[in-house]
Amino acid sequence: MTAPALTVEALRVERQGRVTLAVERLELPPRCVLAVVGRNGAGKTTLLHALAGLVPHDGTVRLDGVVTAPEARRRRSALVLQRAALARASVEANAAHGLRLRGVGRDEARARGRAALAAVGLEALSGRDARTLSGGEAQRLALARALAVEPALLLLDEPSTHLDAVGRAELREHLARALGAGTATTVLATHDPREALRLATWLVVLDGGRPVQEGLPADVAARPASELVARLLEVDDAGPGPGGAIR
Amino acid sequence: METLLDALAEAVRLLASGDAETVEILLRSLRVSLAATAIACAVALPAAYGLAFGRFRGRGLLVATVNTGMGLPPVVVGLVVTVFLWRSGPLGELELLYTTTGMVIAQALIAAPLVCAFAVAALQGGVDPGLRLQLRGLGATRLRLALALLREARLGLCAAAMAGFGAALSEVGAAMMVGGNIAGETRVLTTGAVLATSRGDFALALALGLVLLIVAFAVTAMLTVLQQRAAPLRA
Repeated sequence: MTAPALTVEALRVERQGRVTLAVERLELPPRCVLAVVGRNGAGKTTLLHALAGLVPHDGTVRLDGVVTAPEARRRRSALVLQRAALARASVEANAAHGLRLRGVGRDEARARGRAALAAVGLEALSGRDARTLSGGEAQRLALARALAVEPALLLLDEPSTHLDAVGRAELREHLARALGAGTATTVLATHDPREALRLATWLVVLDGGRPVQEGLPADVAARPASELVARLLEVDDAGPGPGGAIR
Repeated sequence: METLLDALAEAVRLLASGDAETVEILLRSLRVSLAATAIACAVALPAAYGLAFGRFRGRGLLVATVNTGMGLPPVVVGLVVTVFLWRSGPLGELELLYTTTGMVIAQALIAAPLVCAFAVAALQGGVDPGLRLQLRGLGATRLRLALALLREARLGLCAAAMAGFGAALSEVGAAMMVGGNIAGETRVLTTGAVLATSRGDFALALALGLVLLIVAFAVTAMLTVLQQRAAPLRA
C-alpha cells in the first residue's frame, strides 16, 4: 500500500485566543488534488498557510510519512496566492524566481522556468515585463513559478478569484493539464464549485475552521450533508439523485 | 554682475587647466562623501528593512525618530562628533579629529537617517504587499527574502542612496568642525568654497561651487542610469 503523501494530525491554529482551524485528521495519497471549499473566513487560507509552514500551529504534518517541521515544509511546498504577487522583472525571471530563492543557479532556473511557462501556455511572453500581463496571464505566471520548483505540496489559494469567467475557464484548463502532468500533491482552496469538481480528486468542506463534510467531489455534490454544503457547491439540497446535480 | 562674470570665467579657466589644488580638493571630497554614503547605506538599509517589515513595540516611534533625523542640522552633528573625538572626549584616543576619517563619520551620521527614511518608504511603498508572503510561500530563507525585497525596491533605494550622497557632499558645517579645513589634508569642496569666499577669492569659490555641482550631477546621473535600467517596462 502506498504511504500517504500528506498526513495531517490534530492541526490547530489559534489567533488572539480564537480557534481559526481545527482539523483532526486528513490523509492524502500521492498526486491527490484536494479541493477545500467553505465560506469566507471558514479557514481555507489558514489551512494552506499552516500546511506551508507560514503560521504557528499545533499538531503534526507528515510529508511522505515523515513528520516535517514548518521550516522544512516551506522548502518542499509552493504557494499560489489569490492575487498574483509578481516581482518587478520579466516573465521569464519571475518563472525562475522560486528556484532562485532556493539557491538554484541562474541558467538552470531559467531553463526550468521556461519549461514551466510552456506548461501554462506563456512561453511566447517570456521576454515581457511581468507588470504588463493581464490578470489571467499573471495568475498563470504565478502558477508556472510554483510548478517550476517541483514542490511535493502545491498549495493554491483561490487562484481564480479575481479573474473573469473566461480567465477562470482558461486557468482551470491549464491547472487540469499541469496537475495531471505533475507529481505534486495539491491542496486547492476555492469558491468555484466548477473548479473544485473539475480538478479535485477529494473534497473537504470547512466551516468555522472545522471539516463538516468530505469525500469524492461527485459524492459530496450528490449528497450534501447540509444546506451550507449544498449552497457552497451550488447544488440542490435534495440528497442523492438527480437533484444533486450541479446547477 | 561684471565681477560675477569675471569670476565665472576664472572658474572655467581653473577647471579647464586642471588646477592641481582644485583637483586635489575634488578627489578628497569624492573619497570622503562616497565612503560616508557607503557606510550610511550599510547601516541604514538593514535598519530600514527591519522598520518596514518588522512588527515590534515602538516601531512607529522609531520611524518618527528616523524621519526627524532627515532634518538633522550638520552643525549639530559636527558639534557632537567633535565633542566625542576631542582629545579629552570619549573617543579622543583614536585621534580622529581633523582627519578625513572623522569627516567620514560625521557625514555618515548626516546621511544615514536620510537613507533610512527614504528606504523605509521605498520598501513599504515600492513592494507589492503580497510579495513578501508569496516569496516565503515559495521557500525563501530570511536572507534570500530580504535580498529579494531589497532588489524589488531598488528604484526607491537608489533614490535613497542619491539623497544620502547629496547630503554628505553638500554639507559644510560638520566638515568644517570635524575636519578643520586644513589645506592639503581635510579641505573639501564646500569648506574650500567657504574659505575662498571669506578671503574674497570669488573665482576659486565659484570654481569649487561649479565642481560641486558637476560632481553631484555626475554621481546622481550614474545612479539614475542604473536605476532606470533596473526597471524596464516593455509592453
